[in-house]
Amino acid sequence: MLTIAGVEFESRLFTGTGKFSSSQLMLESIKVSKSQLVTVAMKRIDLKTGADDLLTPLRQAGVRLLPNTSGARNAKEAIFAAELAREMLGTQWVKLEIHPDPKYLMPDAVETLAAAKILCERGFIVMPYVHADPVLCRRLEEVGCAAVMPLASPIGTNQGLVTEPFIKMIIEQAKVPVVIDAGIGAPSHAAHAMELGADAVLVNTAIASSTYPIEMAQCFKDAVDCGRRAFEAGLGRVQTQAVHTSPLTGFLQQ
Amino acid sequence: MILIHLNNVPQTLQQSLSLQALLEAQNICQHSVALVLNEAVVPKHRWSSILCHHEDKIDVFAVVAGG
Repeated sequence: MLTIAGVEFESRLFTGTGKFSSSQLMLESIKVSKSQLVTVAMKRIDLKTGADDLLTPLRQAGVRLLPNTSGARNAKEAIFAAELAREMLGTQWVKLEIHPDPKYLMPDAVETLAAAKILCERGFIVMPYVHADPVLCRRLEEVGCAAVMPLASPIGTNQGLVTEPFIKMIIEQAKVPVVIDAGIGAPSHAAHAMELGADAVLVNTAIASSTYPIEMAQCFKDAVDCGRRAFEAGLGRVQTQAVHTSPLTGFLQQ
Repeated sequence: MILIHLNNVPQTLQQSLSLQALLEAQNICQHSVALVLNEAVVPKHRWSSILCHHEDKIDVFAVVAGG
């Protein structure tokens, strides 16, 4: 069972709510994925069109909400967004993300660490989205983050575990859960992340932008379950030289 | 008359309203929004007791889909 900040999760697949073609499809996909932690964003409402009520159906679905600070360009804005989320949703949980660069959406390490320290001091359950930097992840853990969320590859790119060597280091060192976030584009990527020993993965684009999101949500659920079970079962060592699995006696000669 | 800026849109009010009355007048569903007055988050329990003032900057945020 995965535990973050004292809360237990049966599912190790976290999902986002963005990019779905309809709210109904999003809700159905989340339901099928069995995800229990779901990200949402915040935005000024359009006074002319009003705001869609996402909260009611998500709460009815029984999932825990993880508001993100997307749109924040620095620590100050991210802290403000977290305070806003706490007031709006009544949750201390926050996915801290600060990515001022609009082209690659690379997280700003300096601002993220600064914001994380203050938010932790204010009692937030902070889950920072960061580059797969083992040193930074350790620093975030030291300031009190409840988990770290290193990226597999840039947000929404579906490139998979581009950062794999560094993800391995983070998993090896971390004393808090490691959630692989961003860039996971296929169920096999998710399974691989879990086989490496990640505690969970967060998937949004790969489900939402697939041709059949509900089916894809099921695929990711199965992949995450399978990858975790494989990790727990214990994968064999990778060798460079062949190692026989059958007796090497000369069959015809002896 | 007082002028306020609601989500960056100038609005003229005939009389000062409470923040709660302002949201009601705008038909904004209150249970799913957060309100920011002059860059400070205002707790929901205070909405009915705070009046809008001239040149106030009021922002209303809601949850949207995101990753």
